[in-house]
Amino acid sequence: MTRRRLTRRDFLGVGAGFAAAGVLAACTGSGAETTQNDGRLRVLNWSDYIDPSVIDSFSANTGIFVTYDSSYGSNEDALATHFEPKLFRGKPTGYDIIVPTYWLVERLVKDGLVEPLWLERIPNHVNVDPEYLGMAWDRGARFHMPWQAGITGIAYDPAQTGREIGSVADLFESDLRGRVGMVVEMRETVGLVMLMRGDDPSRATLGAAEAALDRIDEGIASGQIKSFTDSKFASKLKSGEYAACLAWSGDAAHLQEERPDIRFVVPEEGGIRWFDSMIVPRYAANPIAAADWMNYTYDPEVAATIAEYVQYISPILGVREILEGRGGTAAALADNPILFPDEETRRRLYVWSGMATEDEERLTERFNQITAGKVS
Amino acid sequence: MSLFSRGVQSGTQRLQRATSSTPGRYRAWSMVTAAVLALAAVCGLSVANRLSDSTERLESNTGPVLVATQQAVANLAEADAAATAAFMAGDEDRESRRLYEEALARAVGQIEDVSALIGRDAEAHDVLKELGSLVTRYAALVEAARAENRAGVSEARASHLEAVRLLAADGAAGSGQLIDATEDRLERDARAETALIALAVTAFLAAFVLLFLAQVAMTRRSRRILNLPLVLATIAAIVSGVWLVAVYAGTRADLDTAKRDGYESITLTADLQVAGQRTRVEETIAVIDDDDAAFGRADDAAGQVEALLARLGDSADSDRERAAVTELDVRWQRYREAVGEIEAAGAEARRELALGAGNSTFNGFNVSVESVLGDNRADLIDNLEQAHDRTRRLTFVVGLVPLAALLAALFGFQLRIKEYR
Repeated sequence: MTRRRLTRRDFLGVGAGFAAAGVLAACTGSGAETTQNDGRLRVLNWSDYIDPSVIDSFSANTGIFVTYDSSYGSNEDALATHFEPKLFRGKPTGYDIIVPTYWLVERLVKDGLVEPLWLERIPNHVNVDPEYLGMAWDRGARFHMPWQAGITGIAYDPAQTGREIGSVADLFESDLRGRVGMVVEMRETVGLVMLMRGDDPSRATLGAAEAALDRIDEGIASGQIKSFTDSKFASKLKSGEYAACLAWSGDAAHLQEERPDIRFVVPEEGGIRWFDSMIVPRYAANPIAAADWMNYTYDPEVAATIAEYVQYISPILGVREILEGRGGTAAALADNPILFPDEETRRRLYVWSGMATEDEERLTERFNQITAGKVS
Repeated sequence: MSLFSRGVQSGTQRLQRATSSTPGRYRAWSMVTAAVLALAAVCGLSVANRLSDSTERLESNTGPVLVATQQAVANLAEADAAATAAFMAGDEDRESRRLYEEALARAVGQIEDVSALIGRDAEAHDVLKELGSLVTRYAALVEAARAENRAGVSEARASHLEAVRLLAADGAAGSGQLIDATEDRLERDARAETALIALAVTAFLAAFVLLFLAQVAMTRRSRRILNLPLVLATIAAIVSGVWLVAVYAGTRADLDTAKRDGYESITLTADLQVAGQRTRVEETIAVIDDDDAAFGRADDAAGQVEALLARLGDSADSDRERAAVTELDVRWQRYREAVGEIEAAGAEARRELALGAGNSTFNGFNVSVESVLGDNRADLIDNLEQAHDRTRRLTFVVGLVPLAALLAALFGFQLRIKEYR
């Protein structure tokens, strides 16, 4: 299983990223309920981001035919493919649910391109973890429902580093020169370096972010940073190409199943928290089925099944208790601090926020320039 | 015989002479009809202008003032709850600190909005000035308590409690005065223009009757079926009158809906948020001060929340609203369960529980209330906009159309009079 962020480069490299799974409904549908419910649901999500049995059980329970498209490769790709040429121009995307990362959801909500949720059909909305209700751009989560969340922290192989790694600053120590990896997501890499510099990425300013970019640039120039990558950090750690790197919590959890000696830590300075969220894009053909899907996946039993499969942080209340009750490996996951960070850890997590869209675009452009030729 | 009586007698004689012939009667009829149509137009225009002005004021001023006032009050309470949670956490709880700063900034911004919109109401400006100064003193006390807390100074708790009490006493009084002032504006602007609309409707009705009877009379005398200008004048009078009544009734209905589904719900939800935040502050004080009596005060405030939730449930009139109230209820129960655990725990565990489950469950409730408040706010503004939109073509219809009817009527009468020359 791979981390859900398949970048565009990965996508092109693999050449077969599109994996649509249509699941035929078993019985009579609820499609006749209103003219907006045609009995079909079109979902666009990241790859390997759901237990496929959940799609089957949803169809069996509701009679809604699901076209599940797992080709969401990256937010930039989605912007270029679905949002800018379609949604931004007043055209339907062809999907009833899309799952972008929170910063893109914020932009879409602010631009009025997201339908308000049919909360009367989503009684399980009450299970949204309060942590995700307080976004300044959507207080109370009236336009989005978080799908999964994760932490960007540090993964390392103690045999390679020869010591414990506890901070982002450790990654810039000379003994690790040429054996450090960082992630391709600008907000996460820059955010963590901002934390190292004592700046707060949850109130990001252009000046502080530029300073962090300068530090990253120095790291590249000096050979400290070997490369930037996505979920492939796991194979690079296993192979010894990286001794330590920035890493995504869900993939780190999977890696630890295979290599328990590899460690994942939330840096002393703090970690970056992110989440991907379900939205109903404007002009969606079937917002009713979308609401039914959201309600179904927010049933804690269903959510626990998804959490067990994807091993990211579930934004749904009650999942931990259900995993504990299931026993065995599920119960072990309930005790895993990567999936269920404790209060002390949560207080050290930061969500990138506060910068104007144009400034973020400038930063992304510079980040892409700095990392050009260093992405692997 | 008095001068007045002689004048009346002479006038009556002249009138009798003038209306002794058929053309003379038509001429008099046309003048009375024109006068009644002119009166209808004047009354209609007056109603239209007043409706347009008051709905515009409601949409662009009174409505936003009401919303900003209620939000400022709710945000001050939210800031207080978050500041108390941040104080309890020492300097560790970045999230509570962020919530405090954001809520305080919103409250300050909303007080400024109210001040900019409220116009020349000197009394309201005095209240706003006092409220602004109180917020500054409150923020200073919170910062002092924070600094003392960081430095481990024992007076920190006293400073923080002083801030809490300042907001609870003076803040509540100032907010109450401001809410009263803004509610008075709503009542004033939404007042029905009963006498004027009745006069306008009577005038349109009279014009219709005069025009109709004129046509009946003409048909009998000349055996012609139609006097087209008079028919058009009659239709125009009917259209204007019906339009005026329909717009007036629609506007009243929109304003009533705005008050019922918008403003009253906003008030109820804002009260709910404030009561919830009082509960939270008392519960937090109980933990900070290890003061079990504060749990009792928290229970009292919680009782208010539950009563308000029941009222909100009763007033919900759509599936969406009922779903929102159900969610509020569930989130509130989760918070109260967390408080129960906090109360039952030992001193050290209390703090951890209050910072963990207490913060999380309360924030869940608080943000949910805020989003319902947002829905109600949107309902209010939508209805006020709709009320104002209805009045857009009214001036034309009740001003120009009766004028056209007047000209058509005069022309119609003149056509018939000419036939007698």
